[in-house]
Amino acid sequence: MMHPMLNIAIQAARQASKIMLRALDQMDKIEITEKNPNDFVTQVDRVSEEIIIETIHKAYPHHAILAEESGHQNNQNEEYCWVIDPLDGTRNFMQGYPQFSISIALIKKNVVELGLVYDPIRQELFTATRGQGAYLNSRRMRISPAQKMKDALIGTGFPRLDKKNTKNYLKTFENVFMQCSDIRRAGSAALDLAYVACGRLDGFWESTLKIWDMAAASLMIKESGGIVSDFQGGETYLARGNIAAANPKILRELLPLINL
Amino acid sequence: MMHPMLPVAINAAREASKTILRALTQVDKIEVASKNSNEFVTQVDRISEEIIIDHIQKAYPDHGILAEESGRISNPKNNHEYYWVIDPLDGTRNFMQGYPQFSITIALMRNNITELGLVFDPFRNDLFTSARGQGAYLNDQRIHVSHAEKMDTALIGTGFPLEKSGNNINNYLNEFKNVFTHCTDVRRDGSSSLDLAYVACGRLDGFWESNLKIWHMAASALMIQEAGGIVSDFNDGDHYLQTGDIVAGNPKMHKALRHLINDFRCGN
Repeated sequence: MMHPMLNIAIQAARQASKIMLRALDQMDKIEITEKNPNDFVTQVDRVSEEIIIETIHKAYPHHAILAEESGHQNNQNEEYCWVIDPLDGTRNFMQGYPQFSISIALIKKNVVELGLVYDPIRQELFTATRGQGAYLNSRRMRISPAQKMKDALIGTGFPRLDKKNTKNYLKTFENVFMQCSDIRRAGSAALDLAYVACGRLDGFWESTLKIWDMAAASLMIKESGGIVSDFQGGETYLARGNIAAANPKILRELLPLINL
Repeated sequence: MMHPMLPVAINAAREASKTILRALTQVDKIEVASKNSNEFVTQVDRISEEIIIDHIQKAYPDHGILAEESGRISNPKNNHEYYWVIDPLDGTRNFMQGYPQFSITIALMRNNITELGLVFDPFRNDLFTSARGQGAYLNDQRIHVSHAEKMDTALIGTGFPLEKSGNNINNYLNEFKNVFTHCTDVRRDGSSSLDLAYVACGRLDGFWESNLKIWHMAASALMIQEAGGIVSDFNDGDHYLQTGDIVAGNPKMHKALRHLINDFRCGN
């Protein structure tokens, strides 16, 4: 049985993805005429966000919203709050690199109730409802059964907006790199985390993320049998933005490597 | 006007991709006892290669073949004027786990010069093709390398070394740190031939990797050149297909990237 609010989130994501794919088609032409592709992408980001918010507000006019572009909206005392990243992986999108996503979560009294991550290019829809499992295109997904770090494929994000942390990051990168089988860095944190939920990656870590990058996918990982934590193994990842995720065995090996 | 031998390569890749995509839906079910999944992937690799070789040999029985799984299949009649270089599944580690980034790559060499190149991403249905002197295409649209002017706004792809011991790994980590610190962001998605094709179409501003094989590079290298980019080994020479060390980008990015990765090599 599908949560009715999940239905709304799916509608919103599919609507927004149409705009995105149309914009992606125009990317080539823009590069020539426009000096600054940044402006174009910000525009796509904003339009996508408006569509999502509009779809949600039509169904749930009183719910609060926390979105990447527009910040907080509506009554923050309202028990439901939707957390939205209308385009995760903007740097990829800007260059036509086909790895980006839409991420929508519903939080009720600080607990994530619903999560959706949608990859418009591959048309992959990842969803989760608290207590009811996680799904990729309606198929139940499960975390990877990897037993050992040396066989594991680990995803990460590089702190590109936070170059002062570069030194620390490179240390953790080297630690993990030397212990695992291989590292992936594809550029959309929400999608990478969804890949952990469905076992395409055996683990993931990144620092200084925002709540809209993590909320939806973190529920998916839990619902598919994985663990999500901050770098100390605690629960502060949504608040502080440092996130590590994997199955229990891999996470136990991952945390000491990234907790400097 | 399409190169007359390109349709054969396209048909071969499309046929092989059916097998690959069918196998991908089964990856889930092979509860990854990692040995079994290795065998499964090797099997898919081999079948994909058989299909491709079969297509090519039917059309050009005299041509030679150099393929990842079966190695060199010579044809004495031809004395290697023409031979086909094939990677039936580039990104096996990804495929093994259902990570949707992998490709088929086919190049045609004539007297050791790349005449044709094809990289096909079956999951996204992206077909990259190139014929020498005739430009490079993504799904029939002409492609160009990126216009990036400066390293600090560039998106750079790389591949990590599989062998994690000795000097190699230290060299690589130094290269990585240096590039990482100077560019806007680094991507590592696990299929070199696809990454290189992304350089050709401007999705990446540059790429470097060491210890690749000729079948990872030949097709995409031609594409990059035909799309206005530069491909070289780490010393700015033409020996990338032999040494396996490759750096690529538009002329500016190629130069900047080559300097960043060489900072550490020369001192050895």
